[in-house]
Amino acid sequence: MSRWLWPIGSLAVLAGIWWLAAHFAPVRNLPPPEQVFAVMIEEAQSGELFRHIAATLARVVAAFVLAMGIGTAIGIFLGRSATANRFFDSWLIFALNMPALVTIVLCYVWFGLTEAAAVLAVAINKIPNVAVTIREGTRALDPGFDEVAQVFRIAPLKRLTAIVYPQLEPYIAAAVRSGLALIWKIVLVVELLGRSNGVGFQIQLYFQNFDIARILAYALAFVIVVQLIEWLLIRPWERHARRWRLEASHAY
Amino acid sequence: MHIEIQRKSFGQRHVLRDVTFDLDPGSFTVITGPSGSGKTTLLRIIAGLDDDYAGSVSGVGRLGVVFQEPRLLPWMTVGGNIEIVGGTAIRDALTAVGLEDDINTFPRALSLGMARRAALARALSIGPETLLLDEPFVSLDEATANEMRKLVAGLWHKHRFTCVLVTHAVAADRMAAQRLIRLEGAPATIAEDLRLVTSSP
Repeated sequence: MSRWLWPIGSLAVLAGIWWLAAHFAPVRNLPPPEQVFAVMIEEAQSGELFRHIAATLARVVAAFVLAMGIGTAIGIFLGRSATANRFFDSWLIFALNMPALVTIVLCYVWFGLTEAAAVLAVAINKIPNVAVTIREGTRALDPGFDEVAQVFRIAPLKRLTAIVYPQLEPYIAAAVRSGLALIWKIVLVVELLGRSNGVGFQIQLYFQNFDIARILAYALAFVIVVQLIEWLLIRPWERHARRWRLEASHAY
Repeated sequence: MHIEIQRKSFGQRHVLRDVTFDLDPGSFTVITGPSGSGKTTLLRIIAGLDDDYAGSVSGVGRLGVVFQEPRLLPWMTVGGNIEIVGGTAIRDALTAVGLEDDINTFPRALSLGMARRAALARALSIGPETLLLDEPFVSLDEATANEMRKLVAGLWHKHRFTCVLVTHAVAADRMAAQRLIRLEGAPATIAEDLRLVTSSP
């Protein structure tokens, strides 16, 4: 039970501090939590909240799938080939240090203010992180299992799914986890700069009206959605992926 | 099976020279020698895991290998480990090594002796024409090692695959072997090639 008590208790304390600050501290433009939740419910009832969250979520999913797919392929390639890695390592460092904002602006300039450009810009920001993580995982692959596959002539596709993938799974999980956190934040910037729906667009709109309660309501609603994805999808998958590690009674 | 290794080096280190021999189909051969004499290197060449040498290997056929570390995939059950290599009659293969109750066990829950037997079942499940075993009795207690020796000899008598066993402890491990090849020297070469007379168990 304390598993649930701790996060709930700590969030309650945070909400309490927020409430105190909004009512008693000399802070301008900080709406109290009850006002933010009232606005959130209002936006939800009108359907606006869900419409914009759905638009943002669709971009997050598209960019996420693209970044994971391409980043994993690059990571495996660089992890397997020392020559390719020596050559492309500096490209990767360059890409890792490219500011997200520059990628977004350039994608919009080159490909127009389109959905594809928006998703691509987000994916490009994430691909280097995925590639670096998966490269580490690929380097850690056990050559002994590779030899088993070779001796017993296991088909290439089966090798990938049954021998390589389970070893990479912790690294993929790390990339997924950090990816989700990073991608939705970049999606908001992309929406703010060049889309006409989504949470980022709404925040820009209310920023112009200085409607802080609505800005907080949208941000909070999306944080809740991301947490739900974490609890309902990522954690159960990780638990499933790790079950063989837990079955161990002892190792040799 | 024909094995002909003119030369094998790791960088500057020359490990094998002129190791040439033929093995009769269905025969049982023990390869021995002091540590560092290239026994495992020779086994890896026969297994096709190392092709960076001067020479050739032919006639190996369908191959099963039992590595020194059992190398079972830890994320799969014992049964899954046999299935993945294309093994058939999984339950029979496990029964043959006395692991019929462990088809759904994950490898980490096995002792080393059990894991070696599971690896043996995996290698046998594909119906190998050649079975290579690399130090399969090392690090086992004497009773477990003896049990495993009996098991290997019994399975060879039953299935008559060409069996090549690498060991440093030839006195204990010669078992049913018909032939003994001893490597020695630096670079190592065949120092002794004996035909053994053994009685059936």
